[in-house]
Amino acid sequence: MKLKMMKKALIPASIATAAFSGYLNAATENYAVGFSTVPDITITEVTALDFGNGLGLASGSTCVMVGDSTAGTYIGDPTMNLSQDTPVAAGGNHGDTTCATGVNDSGTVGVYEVIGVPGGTVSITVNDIGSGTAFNFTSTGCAGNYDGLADGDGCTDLTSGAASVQLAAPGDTVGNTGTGNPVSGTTRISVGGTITTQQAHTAGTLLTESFVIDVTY
Amino acid sequence: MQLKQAKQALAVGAIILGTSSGAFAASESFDITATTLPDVTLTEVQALDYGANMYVTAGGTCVMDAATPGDTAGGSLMQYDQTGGTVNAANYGDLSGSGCVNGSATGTPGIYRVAGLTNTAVNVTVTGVTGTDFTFYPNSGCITSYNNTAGEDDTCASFIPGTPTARTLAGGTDDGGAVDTELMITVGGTITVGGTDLTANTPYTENFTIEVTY
Repeated sequence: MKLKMMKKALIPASIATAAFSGYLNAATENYAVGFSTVPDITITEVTALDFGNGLGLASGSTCVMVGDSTAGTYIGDPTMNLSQDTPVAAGGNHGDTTCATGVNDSGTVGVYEVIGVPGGTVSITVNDIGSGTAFNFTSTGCAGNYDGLADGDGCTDLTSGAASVQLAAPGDTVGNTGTGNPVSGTTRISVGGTITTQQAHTAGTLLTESFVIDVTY
Repeated sequence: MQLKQAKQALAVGAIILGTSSGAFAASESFDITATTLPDVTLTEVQALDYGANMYVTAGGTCVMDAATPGDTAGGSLMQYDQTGGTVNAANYGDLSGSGCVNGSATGTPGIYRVAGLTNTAVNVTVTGVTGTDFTFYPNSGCITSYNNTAGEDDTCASFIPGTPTARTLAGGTDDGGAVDTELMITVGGTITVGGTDLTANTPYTENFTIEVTY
């Protein structure tokens, strides 16, 4: 009789144990992983490119205005919103033109602002004008390049019209000792170059062509 | 006559003896109790977010570093006391790769809490997702593990995406930021934009999975 009772007691216990060990408690959850894409890039003209008044009348006349970071003709950190380790002021000859006529003048280096995602890397191409009506154009210039930190910025010269630079990030805007003031999410491009007339022109005529700047992430 | 009466008395006594012998038995039922394991639960502490840093170009990749979140003493939400003293976050949330802003940009690694039975082993599986616009492969991150002992002796070790990883929930003796019955998971990894360019200035979201079993 006792043996029978023990058997009865053991059976439920073993069933219970088997049942508990047979189930695995589990939790499965789905969680979001997300991002936003960067904003579109915009380019705005800060200062229009102007070669001044020294261009000759004859077809093939040329004028040169340096637009890159060459010492003495560089447009300067304050205009370019750069804080370099060694600040560079505007060169005394920035904007000067050297024209084939020998009639040189003070032109204006073009300055263009690129706006995008802070800290983003962009590829810049300043396109030449190879078949202009009034004149052709070959660019020189530089684009601000930032490092995400105080100071340490630079103006990267265009090579065949192109450069890859980093836009300013919030870290570029604080703790600077340079003379320019970086703006997060932006960079600036300075553009000069060479123009060559494609036909004879009349004295005192304002000549205009359009060039294109491409900027992509 | 007296002898006959005596025999009758003995017979009655034998009957009584026989009756009392049959009463030495009892049958009672007793309860057996057991409590099933508590449900293991998952809670999102911090959502995984790459921020507004992704370029739109198809096929671009972006890796978020979530390998070293640091321990509690280092200011982390990861609730553990790392072996070897205070561990600060290193490159935690940094982004790299051609498909996103990197160098100065950071994202926010995901942080998730598992709760269950104290000082008990669990298997954790973090699985990515192949979505319409992008894929996510959680190949950066770590899961804490404990030994129910006080002191700087917890760990946060990496995991293989899609593969169960054995860890131990904190016990009552774990200290230094550890919380009894819990462990923590942090997740970063690789985003790969799909075969079509994305739209600028637009949010994108997919869901990945975390599974925990005893």
